Amino acid sequence: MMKRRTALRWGILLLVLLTLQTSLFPIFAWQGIAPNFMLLFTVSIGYMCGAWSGAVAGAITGLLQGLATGDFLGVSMFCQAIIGYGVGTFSRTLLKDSLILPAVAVLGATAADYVLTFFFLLLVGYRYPLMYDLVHVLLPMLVWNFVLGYPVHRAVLYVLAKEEKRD
Amino acid sequence: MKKVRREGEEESNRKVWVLIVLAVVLFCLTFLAASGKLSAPVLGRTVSLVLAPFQSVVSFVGQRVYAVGQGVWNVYAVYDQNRMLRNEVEELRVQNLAANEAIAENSRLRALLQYRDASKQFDLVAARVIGREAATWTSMLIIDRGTVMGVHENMPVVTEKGLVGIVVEANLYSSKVRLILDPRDAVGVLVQRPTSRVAGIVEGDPANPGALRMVNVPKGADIVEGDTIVTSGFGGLYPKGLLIGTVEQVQNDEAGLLKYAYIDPAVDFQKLEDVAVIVASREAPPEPLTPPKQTPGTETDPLPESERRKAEVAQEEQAAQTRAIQQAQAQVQAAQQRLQQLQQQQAQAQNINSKPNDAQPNAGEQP
Repeated sequence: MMKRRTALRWGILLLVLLTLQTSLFPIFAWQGIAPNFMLLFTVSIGYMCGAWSGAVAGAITGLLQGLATGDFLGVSMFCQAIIGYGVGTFSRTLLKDSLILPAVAVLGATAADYVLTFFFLLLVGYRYPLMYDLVHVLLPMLVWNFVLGYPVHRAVLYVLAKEEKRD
Repeated sequence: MKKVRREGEEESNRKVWVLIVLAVVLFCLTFLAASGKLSAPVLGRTVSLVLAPFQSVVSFVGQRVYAVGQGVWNVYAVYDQNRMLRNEVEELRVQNLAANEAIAENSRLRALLQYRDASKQFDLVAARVIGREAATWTSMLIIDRGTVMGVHENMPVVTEKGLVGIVVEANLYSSKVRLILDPRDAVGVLVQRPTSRVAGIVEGDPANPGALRMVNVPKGADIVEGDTIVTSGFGGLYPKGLLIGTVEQVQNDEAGLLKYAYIDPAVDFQKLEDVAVIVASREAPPEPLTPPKQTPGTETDPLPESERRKAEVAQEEQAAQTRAIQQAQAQVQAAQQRLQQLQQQQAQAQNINSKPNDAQPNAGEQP
């Protein structure tokens, strides 16, 4: 029962974030770029819950993102799983109550996600103008994720707090 | 203790291997999906089915919020655009006014130019009216041409419509012109109609500034309403044939011995902006004479004689043409000589410039 409620909470949170990412924020996109809530969720989970949880969260959110948006199935899954694991590994010795560190982690995660995706698509055969993308794609992405990283982190903290209370 | 540590190390090694294997599997799955060999249609449809209602609602709300935001922004943008458009309209009005002025000036000057081209017997200097005497608005003008441009006193001033007045004072760069409306001025005139040719004097009417009167007309003179009045050239100041106006009304004077005519001036003195000063005038060249038609058999000018005259005329024309050609050839030769001199000077200048370089021979070249 408790596990079902936990799963429901996380499911609802993921549903809301995915809906916002795919329906609302594309309307207000800046230079065609909208925030990546799935990545922000992964970073928060990895930061708060450790490397494995981060990797699993990244895999799930990446899969959902791939299925919902029609992107290459597996690219987001692969990249976000690695990022979730990486954030979890680096945050082992960091303060969990800090608000600045998750924001910094978001910036790093966004850059890493961009680089991993770029190289993966390069391997598959797609070419992108790197310098142009750095200004017109990565920069708006960094700004969006930095601004919305804190609210997503607060939402994750809220659900985690509810779980702890139940426990 | 050592056993616990060993177990811990084994656990973490296992985790790392699992992680590596999972990463490789994911990598391969991704490549397969990218090449189209792997897909998850059922999963995809399930996710889309679950997400779709939420996406519709959120999208609808988002569109409305965006529309409201756009509306508010548009109001501001429209206000700003309105302000800019008002400024632009003002600027365009000013430009339009200037353009209309330019068009009007263009048409006036074009008319004056046509008059100048048509009046071969006059040498004209175009001038602009830059001032009027305020005391008697219609009788004196100031123009922007003076002695520097060849304008002197007692030179007539005209427009393409007719006679305007005479220069009474010429300074270096401006002159004063007394209009023919001035009662102090008097112009000798003729009725243009060939059957009339009545002479008179036109002067300004003191009782009616802006009007002209033709006086000293004998009572029985042939002058009627509608007659065109032109200068007679008798006074020596105004050349013959300049248009004054048309007769509006003919009246007897109080004494009953003479009559006078009210003249409607050809020139609108209220709208004078560009005029021309006649700095020199000549007699118009006469029309070429044509022999009258002769009745056959009664010719007083027999055919060979007329033919001889024609041949003489043709010879004179040919001689004139030959002289003109010779003059032109002489000018061309002079121009060619001048060109050769210039080329020689240029070559000498080039030789002088290149001499210091030629003094030292380059490496490899034989002196």
